[in-house]
This record gives sequence, C-alpha cells and structure tokens, in this order.
Amino acid sequence: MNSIDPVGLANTVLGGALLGGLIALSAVGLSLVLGVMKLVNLMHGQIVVLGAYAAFYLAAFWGISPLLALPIVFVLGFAFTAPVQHFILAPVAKHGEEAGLLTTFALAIILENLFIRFFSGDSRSLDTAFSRETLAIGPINLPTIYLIGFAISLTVCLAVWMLVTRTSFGRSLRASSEDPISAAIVGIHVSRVRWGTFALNGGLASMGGVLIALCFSFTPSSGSEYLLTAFAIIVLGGLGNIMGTFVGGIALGVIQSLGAYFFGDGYRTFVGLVMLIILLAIAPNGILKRRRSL
Amino acid sequence: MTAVLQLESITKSYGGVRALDSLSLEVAPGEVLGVIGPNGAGKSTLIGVIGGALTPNSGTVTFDGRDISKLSSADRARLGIGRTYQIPRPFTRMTVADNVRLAATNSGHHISQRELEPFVAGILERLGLTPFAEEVAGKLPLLRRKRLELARALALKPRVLLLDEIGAGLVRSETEELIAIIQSLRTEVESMVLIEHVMDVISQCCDRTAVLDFGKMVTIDETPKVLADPVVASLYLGSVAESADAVVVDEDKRAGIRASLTSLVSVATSVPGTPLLAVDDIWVRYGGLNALKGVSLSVNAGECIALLGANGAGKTTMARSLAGAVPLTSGTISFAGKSIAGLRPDEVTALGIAQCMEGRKIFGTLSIEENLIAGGLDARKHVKAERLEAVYSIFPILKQRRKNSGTALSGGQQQMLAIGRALMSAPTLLVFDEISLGLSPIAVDEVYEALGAIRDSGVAMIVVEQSVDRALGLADRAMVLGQGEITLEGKPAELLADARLLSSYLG
Repeated sequence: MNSIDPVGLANTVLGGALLGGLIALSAVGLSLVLGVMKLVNLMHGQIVVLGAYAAFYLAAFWGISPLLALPIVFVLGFAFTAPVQHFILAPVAKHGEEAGLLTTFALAIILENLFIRFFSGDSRSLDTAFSRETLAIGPINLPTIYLIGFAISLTVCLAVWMLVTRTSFGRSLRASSEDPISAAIVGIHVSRVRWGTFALNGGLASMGGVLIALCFSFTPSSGSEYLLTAFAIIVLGGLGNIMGTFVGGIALGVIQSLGAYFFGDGYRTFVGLVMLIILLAIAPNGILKRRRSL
Repeated sequence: MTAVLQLESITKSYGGVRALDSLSLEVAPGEVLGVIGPNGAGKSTLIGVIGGALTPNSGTVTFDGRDISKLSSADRARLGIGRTYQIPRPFTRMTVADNVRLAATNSGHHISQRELEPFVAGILERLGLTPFAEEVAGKLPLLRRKRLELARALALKPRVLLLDEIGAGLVRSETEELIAIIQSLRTEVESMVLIEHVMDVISQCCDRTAVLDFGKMVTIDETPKVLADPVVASLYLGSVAESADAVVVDEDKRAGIRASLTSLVSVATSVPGTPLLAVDDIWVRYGGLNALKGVSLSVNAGECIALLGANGAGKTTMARSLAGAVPLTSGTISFAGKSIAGLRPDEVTALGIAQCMEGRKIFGTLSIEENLIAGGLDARKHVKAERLEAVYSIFPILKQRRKNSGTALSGGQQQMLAIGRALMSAPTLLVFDEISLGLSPIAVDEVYEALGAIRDSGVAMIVVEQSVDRALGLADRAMVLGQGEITLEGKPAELLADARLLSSYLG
C-alpha cells in the first residue's frame, strides 16, 4: 500500500459522510415500521426502487427534474403503500408476527418481477443538471449532488423527527409502539396509526430511492441491496431513533468509503458490514445509545 | 462474623431523582433482612442494584468478600444471588416444569441429566407445584406464578435470595401459605432480603428490618423494634401531624377538585328502566379455560359498583372485556342503549367508557403531559387544554413534572397519572382495575380520596378491587366474583355482614 494522501483521504471521508447521510433517508421509515408495527418489512428495498423508477419516468415523459419530482414521488409512494397495509398486511397481521414478514417477502418478489416485466431489466440512472458537477472546497472536490442530497435528507429527517416528537400523530405513534393494547384502551386509533406509519414509510423510502438513483445506477433487482444497507443504518443508529438513523447513515458512509479507499472499491460493502459487526459487538444498542427516544 | 452481602455508599439516580442516596447495608449469614418504606423509597432499585439488573452511579456491592459491582446479573445469579420479580416473569409458553429445568441447567452448578429430574421434582413438590408441572406457565394464576418464580430462583441453588414484593396481590390465606414457604427456605439458603408492603410477611419472616425513604436509610434494627418505632409508623402510614395539616387544607382542596371534575366527567342522565351499562350472560374463554362463565351485571347512571374477588376470579378479564380488549365467546354488553360487543378498544373509549388499567400502563416513551393528552385525543384543542388544567389542579405533582417521562414517577404518582389519563376523555363510565395494587397505604389513601371525589361528581364507576374495605367504603353496590361467576351481590353493609363474603373471598 502506498503512503496515505491526506487530501485524498479527506475527500473520501467527506464524500462518504455526505453519501451516507443521503442514503439515510431511505432507511428512516424502515425503523419507524419496525418500531410501531413490529414488522420486518422485507419489501422495503422494492419501495425504494419504485421511487427511483417513478422519478425516472416522470423525467422521461414529462421532463420533470428528479429533485422537483421529490414531493410527487412522496405522494406516489404514500398512495401505493397505504392500500398494501389496509388490504393485505392488516388482515394477515391477525395470524401472528411471521405472517407479515412472509407476506412482505412475497410482495418483494412480486414487485421485483413486475419491475422486470414493465421496466425491463436494463440498468437506469437519474440525471440532473448537477449530476456531473463538483464543488471545490479548498483542495477538496465533492460531487454537488451529494451535498444537495445530504441537505434534502437532513431536512426530511428533521421533519420526521418533529412529526414524531411534536405532533399528535407522533404521540399516538410512540404510545402504539410501546404498548398497542393499552394504547387502544386509552382511545388511540392504533390501526390508523399503523396505516399512517406504513404509508409514511412508503413515501419516505420512495424519496430515498430518488436520492440514491441520482448517485448510482439501479436495476429492478437493486432492492435487496438497499434493504441490507437500510438495516445496517438503523441498527447502527439505534432502532427507532430517527436522528440516530441519520447519524447511522453518515457513520456507515464513512466506514464504507474508508474500506473502498484502503482495499479497493470492490470491498466497499464488505468492509462496511464487517465494521458493523465489530461495532455492534462493542455497542449493541447502536452508536447513539438512547434507543427509546424515537 | 463477616457479612455475606455488603453494600457500600450506593447511589443510583434516574434523571434528577436519587432513587438511592449513598446507601450502605450489610446482610449477615443466616439472616433474613426485610426492607420496607413508602412507594418511591428506592426498594425495588435496591434489589436491582444487588441483583445486577441496575448499575449504580457510584458505590460497591460485595458478595462473600468479593467485589461484584461490575458483574452482569447472569454472572451474579451463577455466583449464588437469586431473585424474584415484583411481577412474576416466567417463560409463559413453556410448561412449569420446563421453566424450572431451564433455571436448573443454567445455574452454574453442574447437574447431570440423571440428577436433574429428581431435583426439579423436589423443587416443584416443595412449592406445591407438582400437580401443575405440565401446565403452560402463562395460564397460572398469580399465587402459583409467584410460587413458580420462587421455584425458578431456588433451582439456581442460590446462597442469597432476593424477594421483591412477593406478597403483593395475594389474599390473606395465600399470604399465610407464602409465609410458611419463606420460613421453610431458611434452611436452604444462607440469607434472604425481602422487600414487602405486606407487614405480616415482614413481622413473621425477618430478623432485621431496614426502613428506606427517599433512597436513604431511616433505620435498621431488629424487626419488632423497627415495627414499634413511632418514626417508622408515621413515615410509612402517614403521620398524625401530617394528616392534621392535610385536614386544614382539605375543604379548599375538595372544593377545587369538585370544580375541576365538572369538565372531566360526563354525567349520564338516568333513564328509568334502562341501565347505563348492561352486561348480559357473557362468557370469555382463553385456550381451554373459562375465565368468565355467564356474568350478568348492570350499572345505572351515577352508580358506583365494586367488583371484588380473589386472584384469578376473573375480575381483570371482566374489566378488559368491558374495554373491548378481550373477545367475548358469547353474551352481550350494551352501553347507553348501544351494543358494544365486538367493538375495538378505541371505539369503546370513544363511546365514553374509560379504563384505568391494572398495572397502570403508563407510556414511558411519552412525557407525563403527553400521557394525559393521549387519553383525550378526540377532544378539540381548547377542550383538551381545559381538561389538562383540570387534571393538573387535582394532581398538582403531575403539573410540576409534566415534561418528565411518565414512568419517572413513583408508583402512587403513576396511579394518579393513570387516573388523570382516564379522565381526559371525559367519560360517562370509569373502570378502575386494581388501583391499590402495589401501593403503600398512604398512597392508597391519596388515590382513594381522588376516587371519592370522582364518585361524588356523579359519574358512573366500576371499581375492581382486591382490597375489600376500600372498595366497599366507596361503592353503592358490590358484587363478588369467584371462579368466573358472580357469587354474591348486595349493598356494601349487607355484604360486610355476610359470612359468605369472607369464605368466597378466601376460598
């Protein structure tokens, strides 16, 4: 290995941090769904991919820039997942915890095949005016899109955090997550909270997909990788901790970029996941300890 | 003789509250030490610190001359510190025998496969669990669960046994049985530490008794001396001087509470011939067990009903089926003329039946204020604010600490929060399920004073209680449940005079 180039390393770490924060948006809803519904949502990755395709076709047919399309994608993601919860997941929830898990797994496979059928197996990517631009800060060069995506992800995560900690919906969400039966007896409409959480997750994950697709190309089968990354992020950040998820994203981004820097780009994911295991052995509740703050 | 267990200046804080404040304590070999004190004194925290479930902020725990402060609770259990929990936590899906086997094979003492069965059988026999060995632990009634809890602790072959409120929630005959069991354990374990509210257990089992208050040691001495100490009596039962003070403010306070309650309850107009709540022949079946066997009862507008009965009689199942949280196998429940059988819990609450649940069920992830607001979600904003102020004026302590987590309160305060939360929906019928459970006598007094004011406001109430005197002092009418059926019904005075009350209650 050559001697370490400090500027190159700084570039890598900063780029990794920005990218990780950007990807965190795709993970934040997964953590909410896990906390509130006790549901391991295995179709999460496909919802992320769906968001990317939505932005792709909005750009292709109507020329809407992916960044401007974000609110539309949120609405589409929300509208797509709300009926999934109401008509499929809520009815099967009566049959125990495993039922929801298996159902989302089946839906993931169905969605992936529908993507191939309707969108072809080709690799796609999203383009904006900034896609190939970089921003120079002294000797450091960072892709402009990373900075924009990071800022958007941070803003949305803050908004979700406000929603959960400051609003009536958030209060009901926290109570339902802690003890659904008592919450219902107190008068909280728990099934409505679940519905809202799942659909909110749909909107957030779709937007996350747009941000990811602005940086990397995607295919119909990218979903499983997105799911794995999202899991790594929420575990790092502490389950159910929203701003923790954002910080977890940054941490994973830094770890992965260091792995890529020292061992080559092929080791990006490998090093990231190995580091995750080591970190969890040291801090089992994630790097931000207060897991109950939600 | 050196102490088996030694605690040296232990401090443990939650947020800003010091649950234990540089507390030191020694347990001698062969000793049974009782720990008493009002709610929030730090008793359960003490057990947690000794057992290793809680890490103190400072101080050391020494066991057998060895510093164990840094050891996990599993390691301490293997060293010989066994404990039971205030609320028994068996593995509910395993059988009783498997629960004990599991503890025996993980005790750190090697036990061969051949020795295991006789060992387990011996423990089950000692605790009278042999007939229930193959039953699923989740289906056991409370006393048997407590016995299983003890069995599991014994299976670890502990040298020191920590018992956390093992007498709570038991009726007198059960308590006597428990005392006999504890006394028989003296030959088996070196020392015991007992945390108790039940004074009979303390006076009959403990050599020495420590009194805690606000995390500090008030006194520690031989049990008869401690129990005779007037300082202890005043601390634990509420001093005469204090209640004299309370009487002075009482009238103003009561008027204030009365005024506040007007916005917190909906008084139903009584319709002659139609009760507010009519329960008709309801059956509830869990698994193979009939928890309720054809119960019928009615509550009129403005009436206060006491629902009594021993543990496992079906009282909580009754409360839960009124809440819509337990599906009825058959029968009907109608409230204000509408059938509520089959409705979801939140729909039942929206119709005007509020629950103050057993075990309080405060949300720890929500602040005190948020817990209250969660109880009145459907109200308009200004109505909600008005009700919140009304609850605060009844329970000022909740206002002082409104930003704190709901579970950062003492047991009695949490119970006030639970009552306040139930009032937030301005209900027409309030169901209180075991609200005195696990509270010190003075906290029970406070809670029942609030209940009295609520009854006087004219709202209909069902008070599900184990503590007969309290509930009968409040109620217009009472019924006794036994084994899922109503065995006795009448005016409180009639019931008290009826010899069958005692016999049906004590089994």
